[in-house]
Amino acid sequence: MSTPLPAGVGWLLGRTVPSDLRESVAGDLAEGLETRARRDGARRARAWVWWQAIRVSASFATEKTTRVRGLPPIGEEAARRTRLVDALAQDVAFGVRLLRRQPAFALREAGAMTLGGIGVGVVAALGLTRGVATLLFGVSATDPVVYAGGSLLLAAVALLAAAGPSSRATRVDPIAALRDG
Amino acid sequence: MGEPFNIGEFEHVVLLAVLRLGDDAYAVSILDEIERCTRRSISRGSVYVTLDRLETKGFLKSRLADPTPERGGRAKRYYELRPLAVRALKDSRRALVAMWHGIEAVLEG
Repeated sequence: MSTPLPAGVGWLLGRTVPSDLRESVAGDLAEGLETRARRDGARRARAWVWWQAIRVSASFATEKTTRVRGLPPIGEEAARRTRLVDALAQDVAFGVRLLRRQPAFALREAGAMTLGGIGVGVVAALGLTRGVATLLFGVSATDPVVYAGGSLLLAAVALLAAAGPSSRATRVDPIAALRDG
Repeated sequence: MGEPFNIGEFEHVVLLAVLRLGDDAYAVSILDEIERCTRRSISRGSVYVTLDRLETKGFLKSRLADPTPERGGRAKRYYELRPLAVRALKDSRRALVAMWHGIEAVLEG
C-alpha cells in the first residue's frame, strides 16, 4: 500500500499547479514519497514531500507572475527566482532549528538589542540634560540612581516581552514554519 | 534564412532530455536525466514549468498513462517532441557547431 500524500500538500498543489497538471505532479510526489519512506523513514519522507511541494508551488507562482507581467518567460529567470525562494526558506528553517537547539538564543538576541538601546538612550539623555535641568526639583538631571533605575526597568520589560515569543519559538515545527511562512 | 526559434538554454536542455528518454520521458525521469548529464542540481518546479511552457509553445505533446498504485492511483504524464522541436534542436545545433568551429584549440590551450 502506498504512503498517502499529506492533506496539506494536496491543498497547496490545488492552489498553485494548473488543473491539467495537478494529477501527474501529485503522482510524481507520491512516487517520491513512497520511495523515500521505504529508504529514509516516514518522517524524513514527509519533510521531503513538503519541501518539494513548496518549491514546485513557488515555481508555478513565479511563472504565473512572469506571464501576467508580460515578461519574456525565460526558464533561467524562473530557476533563479526559485533558487531565491529556496535560499529564503533554508534561512527560515535554519533559524527555527537554531531556536530549538538553543532556547536562550532569542533571549540573548533580545538582551543584546536592549543593552544597545539603553546605551544609546543614556547618551542621548545626558546630551539633553541642559534642556530639562531647569524643570527638575529635588533631583539632579544627571542623577546616577535615576539613570540606573530607568535602565533596569526598561531592560526588565524588554526581556519579559521577549520571553514569551522565545518560549513559543522553541516549540515550532520547522516544516510548519516553512509551510506557513 | 528562416526565423530563429525562441528557446532558452534550460528549454533546450529539457527538449534534449525528452529526446534522449524516448518513451520513458516524464517529469521525474527528465529531471534525473538532466541532473545526470549536466551534473547540476535542478529544481523539480523548473522542470514542470518548462515542460508546460514548451507544450504551450507547440514544441511538446503529452499524454496521461494509466494510474498506478505506487503513485496513489494517479497517472504519469509522458512527453514527446513535436516536429517543431526537432527542427528547433537541429537549427540550434547547427548554429552552435558553426560558432564552435575553429575555436576548440583556443579554449583547450
